[in-house]
Amino acid sequence: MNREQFTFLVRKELPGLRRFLLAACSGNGQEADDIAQEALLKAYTASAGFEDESGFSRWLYRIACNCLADHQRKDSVRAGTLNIEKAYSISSASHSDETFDYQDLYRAIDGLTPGERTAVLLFYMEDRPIREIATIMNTSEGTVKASLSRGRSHLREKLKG
Amino acid sequence: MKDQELYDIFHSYHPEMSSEEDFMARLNEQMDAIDKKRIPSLREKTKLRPFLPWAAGIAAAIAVGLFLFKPSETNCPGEADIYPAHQDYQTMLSMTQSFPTFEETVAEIEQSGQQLQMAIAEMKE
Repeated sequence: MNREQFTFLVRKELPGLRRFLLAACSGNGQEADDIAQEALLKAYTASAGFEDESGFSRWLYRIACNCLADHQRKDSVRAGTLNIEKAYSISSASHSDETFDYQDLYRAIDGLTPGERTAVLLFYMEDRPIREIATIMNTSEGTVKASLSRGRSHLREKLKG
Repeated sequence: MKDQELYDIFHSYHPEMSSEEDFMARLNEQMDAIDKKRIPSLREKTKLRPFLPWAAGIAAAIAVGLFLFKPSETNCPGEADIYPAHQDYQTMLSMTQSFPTFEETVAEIEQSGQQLQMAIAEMKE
């Protein structure tokens, strides 16, 4: 896959990928874009030997999820409990109204474990089937179903009313 | 809360994000940097490429040479393979040494016999 093909496929995936990462980062646009850039550069470096265009989206999301997990592991604040104030303070002023709009959603998402968060976002936001989510997360379908079930219960509790 | 409500919540999530063009411009810059690192190594590879047929030819010539000039096997099982065959060995010796003629050999034996007889006679005395 050459650079032109790579850029063409990235442009198709970019809006969804950035939205997914923004939600996973609880509205922290800077962090989400940094992870997206890192994932795309890793993908570009490895794209020379990648020819399966139909599997590009899965492959890209898998790399992005790994980058996201690395960031979450490194971020000691995120490793603990909710620190939504930090995320909001980093968000740009122009997005503050909208951050407020999604405040409840971000708070609910932030209460999920990284695995539950990824599974929930890929399932409900990206409309991906469980099998594909399992491939992206490099885990079994059973684990994805369990993560979804726990995540669903948590979100219902946090978002009701 | 039903499952459909969760779908609706996430499907209505359309946050305002920074410009996609700015994002792609930043990405392109970084991809350019990666390409710059890649290109010298590719050039080095292409520099070596013209020499590859030469290297292959030299290797083939050496292999053929070794095959053609390999020493033939000897008939003697106790003799190492590295020694030349008997016929070749004689040819090599004849090139470097001169053997005595038959007459010279007979004369040498007769001389030795006479010396032996004289020595025996001295001992008897």
